[in-house]
Amino acid sequence: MQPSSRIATARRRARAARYAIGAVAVAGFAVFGAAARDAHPATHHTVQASDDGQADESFSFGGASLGDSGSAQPQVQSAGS
Amino acid sequence: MTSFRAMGCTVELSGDAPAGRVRALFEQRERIFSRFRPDSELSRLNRISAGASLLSEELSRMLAHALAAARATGGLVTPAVGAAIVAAGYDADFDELPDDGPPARPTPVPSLEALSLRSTLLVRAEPLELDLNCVVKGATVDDALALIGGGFVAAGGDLATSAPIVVGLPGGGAVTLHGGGLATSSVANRRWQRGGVEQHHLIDPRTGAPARVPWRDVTVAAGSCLAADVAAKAALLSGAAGPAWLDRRGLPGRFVDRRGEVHLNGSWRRLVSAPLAA
Repeated sequence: MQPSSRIATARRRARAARYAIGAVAVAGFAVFGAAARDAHPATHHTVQASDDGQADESFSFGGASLGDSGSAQPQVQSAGS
Repeated sequence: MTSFRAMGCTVELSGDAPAGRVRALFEQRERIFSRFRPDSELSRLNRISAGASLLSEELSRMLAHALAAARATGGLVTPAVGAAIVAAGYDADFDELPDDGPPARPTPVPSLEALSLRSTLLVRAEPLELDLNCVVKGATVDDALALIGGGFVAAGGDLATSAPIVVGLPGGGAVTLHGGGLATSSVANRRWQRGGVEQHHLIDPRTGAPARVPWRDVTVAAGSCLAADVAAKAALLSGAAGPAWLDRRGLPGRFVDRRGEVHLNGSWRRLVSAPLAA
């Protein structure tokens, strides 16, 4: 009886492990699927074109702090990129 | 001042800045964002040009910058030009590009409505190749300045500073940048030919081809190097409307046309009273 009992116990543990792995996989798939569905462009629009000079909430041009250079020589050159 | 080469340009720093840390930052960004390194994260992403992808924190942050820039410029500055810039012939490091080749064909630039970014999850509903050159250099200059804690950082002349610095301008002349960023967008430096027709790296998303504009160089000052770079690109792509586009946002802009004549918008004239140089 003893060997048979150990085998039965091992089988129960293996079955429980398979269920656990399956449950984690299903949950992970569901979470990724939900996130992908939520992120899909068809569910919302992320970019809207406009040229009305309105500031975009997530991008700030900030204020420029510029002035005359007088007769000073340039320390760096803005050559363009 | 110390300097080194990165991102296809010369990077310059204040004399006492820790150059090693800044160089490491630029090299890290190149490893992630280069279109010309097959093993970069951006190249790997572009090889699977549609569907859902999980991005690194660094790539998702830079793409978020690019999407914000696209919103702020009415779609003029967009990361969706990846396929169009390759179709124009810019498919290798600029130094390795052949002078001429088969004719380029305009390639439609996808709408960003086909793209969504939530945290690090990117979903592209249609094939869309990304090019983040519109933000990577400017953001890296700003990040480098934050890294060294003050002074200035310049990359190819796009700079961020925390202290006054005199900056030479395209075509001659100079201004003092007291803080923030200044950048010049130009169609003069990176040019090549395809089918005997001149090409450059600034794609007009409305045509899917290099922009045909009256300006050679557009210089803009703003609150950061990233903001100045994005604004300079948008102003250049706006063509004749560029000076007014900047004025509506209170940004000073200096435009050098194809003949070398200098034009200033109202915001620049209010801040800088020095005579024009050409």
